[in-house]
Parts: sequence; structure tokens; C-alpha cells
Amino acid sequence: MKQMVINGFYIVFFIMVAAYRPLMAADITITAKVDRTVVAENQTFTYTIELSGDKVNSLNGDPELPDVSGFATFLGSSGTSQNVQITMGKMSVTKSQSYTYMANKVGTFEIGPATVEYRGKQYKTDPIPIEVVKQNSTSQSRQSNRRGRTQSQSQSQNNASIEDNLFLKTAISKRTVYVNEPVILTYKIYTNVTVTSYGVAKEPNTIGFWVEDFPMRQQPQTKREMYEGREFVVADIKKMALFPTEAGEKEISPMQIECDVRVQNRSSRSMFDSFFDDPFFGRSVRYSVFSPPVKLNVLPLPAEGKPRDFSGAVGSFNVTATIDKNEVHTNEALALKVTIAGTGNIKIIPEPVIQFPEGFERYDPKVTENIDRNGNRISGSKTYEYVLIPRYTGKKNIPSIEFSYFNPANGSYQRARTGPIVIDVTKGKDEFAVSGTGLSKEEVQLIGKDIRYIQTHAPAFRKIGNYFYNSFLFAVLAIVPILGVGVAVGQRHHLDKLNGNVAYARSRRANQMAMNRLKKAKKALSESTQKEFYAEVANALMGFLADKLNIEAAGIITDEVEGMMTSKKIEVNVIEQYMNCLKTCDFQRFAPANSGLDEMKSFYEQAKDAIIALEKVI
Amino acid sequence: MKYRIIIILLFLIMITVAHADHNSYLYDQANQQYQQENYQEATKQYEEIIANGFESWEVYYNLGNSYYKLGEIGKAILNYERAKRLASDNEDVKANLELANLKITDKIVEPPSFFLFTIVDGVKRVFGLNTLTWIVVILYLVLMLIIILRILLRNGKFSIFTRIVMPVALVLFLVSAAVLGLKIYDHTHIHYGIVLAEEVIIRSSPEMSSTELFTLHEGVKVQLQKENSGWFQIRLKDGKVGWMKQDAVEII
Repeated sequence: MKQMVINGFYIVFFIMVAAYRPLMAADITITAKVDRTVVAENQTFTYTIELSGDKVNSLNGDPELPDVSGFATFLGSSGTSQNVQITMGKMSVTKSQSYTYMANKVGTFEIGPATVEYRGKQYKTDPIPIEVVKQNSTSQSRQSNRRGRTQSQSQSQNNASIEDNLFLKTAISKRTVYVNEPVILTYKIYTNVTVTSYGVAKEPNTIGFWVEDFPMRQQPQTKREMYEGREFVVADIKKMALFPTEAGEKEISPMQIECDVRVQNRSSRSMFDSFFDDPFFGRSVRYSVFSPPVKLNVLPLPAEGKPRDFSGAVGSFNVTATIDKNEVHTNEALALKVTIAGTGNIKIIPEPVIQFPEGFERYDPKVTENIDRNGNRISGSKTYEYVLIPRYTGKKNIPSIEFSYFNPANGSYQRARTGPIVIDVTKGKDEFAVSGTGLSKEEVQLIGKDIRYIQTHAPAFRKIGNYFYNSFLFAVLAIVPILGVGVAVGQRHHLDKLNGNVAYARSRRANQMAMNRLKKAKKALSESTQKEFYAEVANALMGFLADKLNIEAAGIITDEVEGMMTSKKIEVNVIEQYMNCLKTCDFQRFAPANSGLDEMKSFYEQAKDAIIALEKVI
Repeated sequence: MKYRIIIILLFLIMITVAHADHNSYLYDQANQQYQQENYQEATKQYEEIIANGFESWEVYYNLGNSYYKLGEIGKAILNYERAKRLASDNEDVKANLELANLKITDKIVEPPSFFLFTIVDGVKRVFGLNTLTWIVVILYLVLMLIIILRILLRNGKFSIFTRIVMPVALVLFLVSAAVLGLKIYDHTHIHYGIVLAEEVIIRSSPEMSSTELFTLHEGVKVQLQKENSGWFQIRLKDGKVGWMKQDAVEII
């Protein structure tokens, strides 16, 4: 419905402009035009400035526009158009720019000259007179209708009746919707006058919606409908499905329609009146109608029960998957078709997640979309077509393909799924055509990387900061073996004694014992205790020998001693020395001769030497 | 007097047992939360065990996993490192720590070190502190047992046996004791930390006004060398040194 009549005017106009070219291309020519010189109040008109000449392109800056704020408001400008013509080696350029205004005051006005400056010279357009006529007068024809109108009625009355006989209404399927749930908005024109043509002057503002227009017939189908007790001709002029993209209170701004309405021209009551009282010869008046604004309450999708894989699809859908053949040879292509069909926002549905089995070569899917805008809803289907080439034999399983959507009819999330598909891949003829992969063993492929799982066995808790090396147990374990060694040494000693190895011990201690006894003898070294002295020395000598040879000292007699020492293979002079000492002792003990102190001292030394000498050899 | 000591001892044992029971309960609860993917709850309960003053490598490991799942990579690495400190030879800990380290921003390249140090470091890393302590203690006990047997037994055959075994045991004992000594030194003198702040600026001296040297990001392991009024002097593996606010890092 975008074939705008006004646009049509522009096009015609531009063609005219293009065709026009100054014969004598002066430096600059500036002309101005309006598309019509008589406009109705609140109606738009287009003002066009045209610059031509071979120097147009060297102009800098736009022409200065006349001030029309007294009777019109500026709506916008269309783009510039340019036409270059080369005639007989001369180039002429025509540039035009259109500005759209809306007349807002009744009366006769003049559009002042537009100016452009080039090389210090001002070029001006001629002023254009323009007449703005009243569109709606205060109407007394509220009760009048087409039939009741008499020929005596004035033209103004006819004009005034337009307001009551031409208006827009909207029909909306739902006022409270969920995000992405479509709402059908229909614009209807109600008319009781003859509308020769109409066009959309201003589209409704649909920010926050995704819009899907329903196709409309070129010539709207009309029907008759009663409204407020009167019969109107009604036609749907625009129908669209709105998918709100965000939650909240939304308002769709009014749509503006411009209609050309034929009005009978009856300025005189001549005989020709009846002839001219015909729509064909009527006068055409441009008239703007506005639709009422539309308010919508958009609800957010409930968070409760929202599936993880929810992609935003709202409506009612089903998903099907078909495969062209279930049995296939390796390296033969097969096609998997996944179709999501239903009503709702089909377009935004993303590619479904399909877990393809290993061993398939897969190509990006071919996506086809089929949107059906007929009837009162937007429905359709989206098909993903995958080409799969199996590389290995075996029964392959494509698990069920799932798809979740929100169903606004019952306000809950639903899930559509296909059945699983089993493909039996058998060995093809050209098995060897596959590069070596069929021959080598397949490596274990790491599909994902994740941390290892937690430990679940019962741990041994311990106090933080407690380490074995500074624990009590550690100290005990360090000290106990040392004590053990000490104990072992003692035990060894004890065992030695028990084992009767006294001879060794006696022998080790013999020297010490002998020296001790000699010390005793030294104490008795005086004339009065002569006897005791010799007894002690003898004791030392005998004791030493007894210890060394591990025999009982009390049981031995001097004569035996010599034999014992001889049997131990001790040198003769050592034995002789030792025996001399012993004999001296015996002699002095049993047949004491008064010996002097000096003699006793020298004997003491003699005995000591004998013991030392014996100790060295025994 | 004697009874009183026994009662106190029993009481202490009861407290310890009760603690252990409570910890096991928390641990099982936390594991269940983890299995149900309630990682937030799981971390709370693992942390409670540690807050009670108890630890085990499993708790640190599981806590690290929970933080990893929550995307808190710094805390995950911190807890894996703590688990590694207690069980340095555990494969799961090593694998997860390695994976978590792939997720951090900073890649610090360790320069090649002298091969002898690498060997010593390798030996140090083979066993955990407690494991190594046990090894040293066992070798020590074996050695002492041999000595004691030598004193007590005068058996010629046994003497020949000990003449071979004793030097082996002695060498093993000395080596492991030396490594243990190094390890204990490291443990008491060398501290590491993990950066927990998302981004932290390393400065030339412990003042906010000093020159910015470089920035580090969450999860990096740094050696903490000195401490100075709320600042740590840190050293990276590649030898970079600088000062960092203490609150950006947590000691392993």
C-alpha cells in the first residue's frame, strides 16, 4: 500500500524537470514551482526549486528558501535529483530539490522568491501565489447523507460532510500479549463519499515491534457495514502482524491517509446541472484522515519453567525430521530435512541443535523459509536441509531433535521433538577411495576439556598447621631408637657376663687390679710393716697372673706358675724375672730377714717392671 | 590426680572425635551439593571445614573444583595449590591445576634453570612434606634397627648381611634427610601466593605513588619475598620483582 499518489506527482514532476533544459545555457537559472496552487487546509504541497546551467555543480550551498511560516509548516525535503544533458558539445546540468509543506492557514498567500548566490550575483525565482481553502467547515450536515442531499445544498456543505463520512478505524486482535506473540492490527476505512484514490501519508510508528505486513489487494475489497446507525462502505486498507520485541506499555502512533474525494460542483443551476451532477465531472478535494492510536500491553515471558534451550520462539510449533534413505553405503550422500512449522515468529527461530553421530561428514544446511501471510495469522515453516556423507559403516543413530517454544494460548513453555533416526551404513564399493583413515585405528578424541571430578572418599582431616616433622610422634620416633641403642649396649654387656666370657673381662681388667694392689703395697712400705708389704706385692703378682690366665688366685702355688707361663710360650727371661720376684716375696714372708727400706723400694720397682713386662707379652 | 588426667585426656579425645564427625558431615553435604551443581553452597560448606581449623587435600581439591565451576579461577588455583602442598604427587590435583592455569590471562615463561637445580627441584617435588618425613623416619628406624641388631647379635652371617645393607640404608637416609631439610626450609621460609584480584598493578616500591612496573591478573602464582606495611614484595617465575598490595593476593 505504498503507492502514494503524492509520490506519483513527484515522479511526473521530475520527468518534466528532466525534460526541460534551457536552450541557451546561461550561467545559472533558478526556477520554483509548486505542485498545486490551490490546497486544502492541513494538506501538503510540494515546492520545488530547480537550478540549471553549466555551472550548477560549482555552486556551493543550497539555495535560500522563502519564508512560508505564515501559512505552512515544513515537513521534510526529498532528495535532490540531477540531470546532465550534453547538446552540441555543451553540457547543461539541471538540479532540483523538493520540499514538502503542510498548509495550516486559510487564505491567499504568496511564496516569496528563493535565492541563490553565484559569483557575487543573486539569482531569484519568481514569487508564486497560493490559495489555501478551508477543508472542514462547521457542518450542519451531520444528519445528511448522500441520498438526502438536495441540489440546493452548497458546496461547502458537501465539503463539510466529508468529516462524518470518511474516517479510519483500527481493529486489533488482542490488547494484552506476550513478547513475540503476534497481534493482528487492521486499518479500516469507513466511507460514504467517493474516494478516487488514496495513499499512506504517514506510516504508523512501530518501534519495538517486528512487523510482518499482510499483502493487500491493489483494489481494496469493499463491503457494507453499519456504524452508528448508518451504512458505510468499509475496506481494509492495511493489515499487519506485530511481534512485540520487548515488554511494557506500547503505543502505535496514528497512521495518516490522504484521500482524493470527489465532490460535485454545483455552482450554477443551469440545464447542464443534471449532466454535470456526475461523479465523473466533480471536483477532487484532498483530505487527510488519521487512525486512532493503538495501545498495547506487552507482557514479558514468564521466567518460571523457562527451558535452558529456549530460543525465543512464541506460538505453536512442531518439528519433523525426515531422511531420504535409511540405508546407505559409505561415501554416499544422504539428506536430512528438519522442518519447524507452525504459527508464530518463524523467522527468528535459530537452527536446531542436532547431535550428529561420529563418522559423518556434514555440510552447512540449506535454509528455506516459507511464511504464509494469508488469513488472520502469520504461519509458515523453516526447513534446514543437511547433506551428510557417512564415512564409516555401522548403525548410526541421530537422537531426537528437540525444540522448545512458548505457547501463549496456555501461557506455558512446550517442547516439540522428533523421533530418533537410525541410519544403517553399509560398506560401499569405493571404500578404498577414502584416504587412509579407514586403515588406521581411530585415536581417542578429546571432545571436551573439563576438570576431573571431586574426591568422594572420606578424607583424613587434620589440624591446619600440624606437620609431621614438628609433631610429638616425630620426636618420639627420633629419640626412641637412640635409647634403643643404649639399651642394646647394656644388654650386650649383660649377655657377655651371662655367656661366661669372664676370662676376657678379667684379662681386660688384670692390669688395673694389679696396679691397685701395688698401690696397697706401697702404703705398707715401711720397716714395721715389712711382712704385709711383701704379702701385698705377692698378692698383686699372683692376682695379675690369675686374672690373665683366668684361674683362681687362691689355688695356685708358686711352682705351678712357672709351668703355666712356660706353656703359654712366654720368653724365658720374663718368666725368670717374674718368678724371682715371687720367690723373693715368699722368702720374705715365711723367713723374714730384716731388709732395709731401700731394699724394699727397689723390690717394689722390680715387681712393677715384671708385671709390665708380662703384660706386654701375655 | 591420676583419674583427673585420664578424664581430661578422654575429654580431649571426645572433642577431637566430635570435630572429625562434624567435618565428615560437612564434607559429605558439600559433595552432595556439588553433585547437584549447587556450587555456591558447596564452597560454603568446604570453607566451613577449613574455618573450623581442619584441612585435607581432598577438601582443598573439591573446593578448587567448586570455584572452577563458578568461574572464580583465582580461588580455584589457590585451593588446588593448597591441595598440592598436602599431596604433591596426586595426579587429579596436578591435572586440574594445569587446566585451571590455562584459563588465566598472564602467561609467564619460566626461563631455563641450571640442570642441577632442576634435578633437586624435581626430587623435592616427588614427595609431599609429610610423605617425605615418613620416608626419612622409616629409613632412620631401619638404620637404627640394624645398629641395634649388630650390637646384640654376634652372628657372622648377620654381620655380612648388615655390611651390605647398612651403607645403602645410610646413603638413602642421608639423601632423603637432606632433601627433607631443604623442603622444611622452603616450607618455613619461602611463601607463595595466588593473585585473587581481577587486575593488580605491581609497583617499584611499597607506595601508591611509585612507578607502575607491570600488571598481573587473577590466578597468577607469585613468590612472596618481603612484607612491608600492607605490601608484599613479589617475584615472578621469570625473575620480575615488584611490590603489590597485600589484599590482592592470598598466601597458599
